[in-house]
Amino acid sequence: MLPYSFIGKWDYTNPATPVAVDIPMTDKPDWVFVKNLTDWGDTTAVTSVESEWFSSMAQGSFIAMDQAMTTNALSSNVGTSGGFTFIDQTNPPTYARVAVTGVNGTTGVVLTGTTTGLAIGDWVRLINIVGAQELSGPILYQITAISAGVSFTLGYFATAAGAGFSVVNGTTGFYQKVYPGFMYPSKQYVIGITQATQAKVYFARKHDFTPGELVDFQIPVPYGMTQLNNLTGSPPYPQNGFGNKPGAPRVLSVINSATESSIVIDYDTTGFTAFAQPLSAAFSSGHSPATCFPAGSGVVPFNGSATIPQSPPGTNLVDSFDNRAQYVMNLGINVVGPAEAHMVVMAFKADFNNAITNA
Amino acid sequence: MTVSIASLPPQIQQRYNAKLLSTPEHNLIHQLFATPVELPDNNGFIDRQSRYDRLDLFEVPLDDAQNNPPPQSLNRVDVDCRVRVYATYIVLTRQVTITNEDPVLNSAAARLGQSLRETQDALQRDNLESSASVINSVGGVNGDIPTEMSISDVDDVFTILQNNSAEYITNIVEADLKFGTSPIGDAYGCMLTTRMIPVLYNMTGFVKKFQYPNISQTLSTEIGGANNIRFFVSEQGSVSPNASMLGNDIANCFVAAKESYKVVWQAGGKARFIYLPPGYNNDPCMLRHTAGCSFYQGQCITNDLWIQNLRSTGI
Repeated sequence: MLPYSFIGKWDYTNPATPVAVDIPMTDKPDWVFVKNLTDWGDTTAVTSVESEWFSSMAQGSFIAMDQAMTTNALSSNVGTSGGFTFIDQTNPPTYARVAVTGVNGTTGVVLTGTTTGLAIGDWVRLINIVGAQELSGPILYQITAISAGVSFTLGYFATAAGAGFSVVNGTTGFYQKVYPGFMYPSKQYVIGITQATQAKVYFARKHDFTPGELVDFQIPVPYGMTQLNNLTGSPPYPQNGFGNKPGAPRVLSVINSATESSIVIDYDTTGFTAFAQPLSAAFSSGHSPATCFPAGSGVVPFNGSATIPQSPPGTNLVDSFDNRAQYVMNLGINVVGPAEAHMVVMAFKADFNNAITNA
Repeated sequence: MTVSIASLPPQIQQRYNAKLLSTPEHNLIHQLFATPVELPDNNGFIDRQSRYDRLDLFEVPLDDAQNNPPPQSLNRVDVDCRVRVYATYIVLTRQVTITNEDPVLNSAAARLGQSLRETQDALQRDNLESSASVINSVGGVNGDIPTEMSISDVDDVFTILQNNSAEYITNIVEADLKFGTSPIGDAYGCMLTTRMIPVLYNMTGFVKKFQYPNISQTLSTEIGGANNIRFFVSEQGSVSPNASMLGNDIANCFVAAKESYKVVWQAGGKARFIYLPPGYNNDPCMLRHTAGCSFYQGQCITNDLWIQNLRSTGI
């Protein structure tokens, strides 16, 4: 019998309000444990001071040891959710769709009776949102807040709505948790574009564009601002308007904060048709989504400047087309550990687990 | 003991037929139109290619003073593609290989080869799915967004590629004096899932491959054509589950023009089969063989205007 191989060790310290943690791994583990180094051996009452998962266990489950107050005695614990979830990003799990009872087109709050299995940072798709069908379909939204059993908030969408790109409220429909693709860079569905000398483009989830990268657009007629369409290889001013340079716009700066996903591009849209989300009925009658997609590598802006290129030109290598798929072990809220605890994770795999089965 | 059919020992009842059954293999379509590029060894792991944009036309004549006209600026676009390494292997005990009548290692090699090629194909598929711009089919009648693909959607995507000066993949299949045949125009190539076959066969104007006037220059993966697009299908074609407005599966149908995307292989990292006999890998008692394969590959879109993801439901 061959022993387990060591895959790796990871450390993290929880914030004041712990959230689920993704641990990227180089291999598929057969045994993972996480230990609370802060509280180990003291007299604090801690749930899941040590948690484990084996590959024969169900996704999301865990076994754990709880530490009792004053005696520091351990007792066994087991759970079926909020534990360890292994995700192969090239073949992610499929989740069931869940009923939605309302979508606020301004605040991004999605009302639903079931938030089980959702965590901040998760991606969801909205399906058949009556009254606001332009929200339905391919757009992946990222969750920024959860009120358990009541609602979750699509904060990136809400930020774009706050900038003037809100939609009418939706009534009923479904949400479905999904995982986005892993190939870099990926196209993004556009939620809003400002009319400015340096336009700002809003997305519904964190994006992976980088400063200096070239991006292009496909904006269907109902969204307005079709002047941004297919700019790769476009001629210079005056054909493209407002003194813009030829070719696709360059990303000047990016924001991927807790509630805003956006890029600023070196393209003047002040006189362009305003960008607006189409009405539900108009979208339902048949249209494509507005998309922003990679168009090439560009010169990196000078450090601290949104407009001045580096001199000599800096080469942006991080915007190369790339496969960024990983194996990820998601530590759910029941095993991630208590507030501000220093946690250590170790993972192993069984070496001899892949021989053919019937020979 | 009475000898009867019921009392024959299992070894007598059974004969092992050495002719193996076929293993299902997926059609490999996603590299069909990719421009192959070789990255020389010892030159890094990112392949950069550049394109100079068109200059503007200059239709205004010089005046009589013969002043120099305003200059134009030359614009260049760089596209970077990172090469990654992929590998897998299987382990077989020596006990398996010396007791089995079947040459297991041979089958292992064949299956590794299949897995390698299908992985290469799937990587390109995932790249196109992630990065290509999107057009929804809207000409269908199923009430979803996108609808099922219709001939007007085929013409729309054809028009977009023509507007973007994209070059054809294949030349015209000329008409001939054969019953039931129909010509196919100069065409772009469309890569899509086999689940789209009923949608294509129901589409007005779709010409099945066996209705081509001449099939001498077709591939087995080609299923037919419509106006100026020819369709190539694979079991591992791209599908986005539940991604339509009504929550139905969407087929991502990649319509490609010439030089719209590429695949990069490292010169010293091409597809390779690796066999290690017992005794390697912490195996002091020589109990295990390993058979593995590896390759180096990068994939990227080289011109975003020349490849479109025409999305369709109805699958």
